[in-house]
Amino acid sequence: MKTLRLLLWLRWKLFVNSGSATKRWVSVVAALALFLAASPLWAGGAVLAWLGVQKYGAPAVTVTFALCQILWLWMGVVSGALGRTFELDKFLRFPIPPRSVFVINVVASLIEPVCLMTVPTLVAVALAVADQHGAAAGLVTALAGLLLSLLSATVLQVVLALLDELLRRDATRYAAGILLPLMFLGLQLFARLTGGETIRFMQERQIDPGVLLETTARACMALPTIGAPALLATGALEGDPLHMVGGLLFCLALLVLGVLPAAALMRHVVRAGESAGGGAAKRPAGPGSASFALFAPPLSTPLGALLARELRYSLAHPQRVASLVSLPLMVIILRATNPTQATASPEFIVTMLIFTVGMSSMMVFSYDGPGVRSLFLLPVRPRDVVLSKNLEFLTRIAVELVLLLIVMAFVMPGAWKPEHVPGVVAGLGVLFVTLTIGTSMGIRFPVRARRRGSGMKGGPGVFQTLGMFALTALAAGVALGGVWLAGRYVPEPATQPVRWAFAIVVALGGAAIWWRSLDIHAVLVTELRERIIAEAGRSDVE
Amino acid sequence: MSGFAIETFELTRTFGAQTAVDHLSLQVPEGSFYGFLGPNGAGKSTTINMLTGLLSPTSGSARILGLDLAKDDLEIKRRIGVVPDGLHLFERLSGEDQLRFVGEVQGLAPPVAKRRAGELLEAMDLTASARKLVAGYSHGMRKKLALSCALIHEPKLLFLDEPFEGVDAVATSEIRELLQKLVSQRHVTVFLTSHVLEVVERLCTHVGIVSGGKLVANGSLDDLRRGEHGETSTLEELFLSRVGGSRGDATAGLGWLTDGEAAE
Repeated sequence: MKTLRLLLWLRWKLFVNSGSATKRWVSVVAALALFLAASPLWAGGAVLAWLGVQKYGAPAVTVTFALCQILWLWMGVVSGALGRTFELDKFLRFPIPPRSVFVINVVASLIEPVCLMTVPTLVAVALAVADQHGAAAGLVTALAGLLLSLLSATVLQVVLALLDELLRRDATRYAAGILLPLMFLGLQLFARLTGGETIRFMQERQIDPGVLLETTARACMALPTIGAPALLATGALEGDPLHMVGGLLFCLALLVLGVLPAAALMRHVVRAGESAGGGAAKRPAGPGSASFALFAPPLSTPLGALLARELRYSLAHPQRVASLVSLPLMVIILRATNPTQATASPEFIVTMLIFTVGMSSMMVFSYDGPGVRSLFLLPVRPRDVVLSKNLEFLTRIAVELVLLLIVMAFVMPGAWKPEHVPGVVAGLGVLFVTLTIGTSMGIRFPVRARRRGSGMKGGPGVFQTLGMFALTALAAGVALGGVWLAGRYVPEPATQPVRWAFAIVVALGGAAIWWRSLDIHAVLVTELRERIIAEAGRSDVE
Repeated sequence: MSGFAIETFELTRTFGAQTAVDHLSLQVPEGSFYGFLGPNGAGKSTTINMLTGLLSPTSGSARILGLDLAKDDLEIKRRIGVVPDGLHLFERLSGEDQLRFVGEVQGLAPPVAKRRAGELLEAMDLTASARKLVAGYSHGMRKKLALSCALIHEPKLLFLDEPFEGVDAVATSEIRELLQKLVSQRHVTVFLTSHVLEVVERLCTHVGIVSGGKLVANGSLDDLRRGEHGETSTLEELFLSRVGGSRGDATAGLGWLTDGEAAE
């Protein structure tokens, strides 16, 4: 217990010392705002759970428990798998049993946002049971909900430990970095596509939702981490003390027995460490590394070398490779699930591209890691450093656009008509403006990408990010709105020439703003190099 | 040229209320092997960071190889080599790529950069790891690679922040020999920090000692060791006398550890 108390104290101190008091309050306010914004999810879940338990009884309880656990695991893996670093490695030198660290991690998981999101639903289930079967049954159901949460946290820790084991090696990390986001997108596509089919199938066959719920609940009961708390809750609901006692003991046994092998697994993963095969992974044998002078000429030798290094780094980061296909994949999903022109039109897609590149361009120094310091030790002009990073960014956008056009040619044949082109040209101008704003933000508020994943540290606060999006939205509104207004209000035959002229002016204006900004950003980089080195230059590897 | 590779004039750097480097004025003769010493937190790394362009001085100025640090930073960077504190290499490049990249940015033709990268890797016993990502290098390997990066363009001045820390004895001996050759045969100036006084004593011709951000000793090692009255002291004695020396019996309160007193 003393160890647990100490670890809890440590977690608290780390939180308290993680930033200034203002920053902590801002993050608390931002978390509350996010919680409120997500209210349709948790409040809707609670209402549905209440209605479901009222109407269908025990099967609804089991299925609700299952959905909560799946949501928890899903969100936990998506948000934490790739960027996760176990605290356990920091405790290896101390006489602290891994299971204590594991237990603390499990308990800490209970205050994760995704867990808090499921609380209203679990409370609604307990209240619905109490409403129908009395307060005692409701209390037992609440206890079952708490045990479900603890079991879900335990399972999540085990899954993350397994993923960490998988992601120790460079090759698997790279593959997972690309495949995991694609898999999640693919599953969403599958769910969207098959969801409608399932409802149609049920309607055609006149399958009663209650029967479906019961069948699903039976399947869920076979999964121990759902079945055990569900057995406790349904025992209370049906007044079956044997089920209640059995469910309670089953839950406790799973928690006690689950902690030991899970802690052992975590210890194994941590002790295996990075060097077991990760960072030291040998590159495929080749004739030798290529020169960095690929782009010189036409670029100057330092600028060409900087750009070549940026492109190599880009390919070395799976998230950046995956980002190339995420928007084309989104087009496929949108087209497949919602074939109306509004959500899959070229203008809509260009707008999506503009907003997705905003965040991406902000990571201007993020992927350099500790090497960012070397950039400032080399005899290169700060302008060339910024320019090489922006050129790498524009190269990635160009590849993404080409992929997008290919995908659209297949899934939306005929969607691109000549009248769409001015909007896209104006969109390119906005893209340059977005790149300018993003680069400026990235220099002022350096973000550190975590080596092992999708997470990031540092960066701008909520208000700066909102400000950036507001500016981007304003630029997009002016550019795309102008093209639209010209099409609507300029009389023929001047309509298309005016739209084209406006779009070209916007595109050239955007490019000019970006080109001019390079000098300003170069000065900014020089002035803020200490902050950039301190924030973006820290490495998870160190 | 003034005959000094490095000259600083009242160089000062503050971090908030803390003064890390306090009106530092020093001269490092060209072709000297200069040891820059000081206890932890004395301002050694801050000074190197300012002299290599990573940090801006709060006040004061400096001339490196006769060039103004504030105005000619690019030209200075072309002429110096740096092994910084913490190393900070590009983790996602291989050792060979790293060297070729630095060489080409420093203005070497690609074939020259490739040849020198291979030769440096061979000299540092890193050939077997040349194609491995730096992320997988041990601390000693990183140190040797960082030194290779600092040397690939034949710099006139080398800044080495704890260059031997974490490097094995064989490599240390080889690097020491290489550095001595650079100084004696190529007239390169080496500005080195180290906590290992024996290393400094064996290698350096000149020494500067900082304490609390202030320069408390500067000159040739022989002159500094020879006291005002002609007595000769070791570098350790000199160092301790200039930085405040012994703190008395600092371990007096550790009787429970040293004298076998009963633990509470």
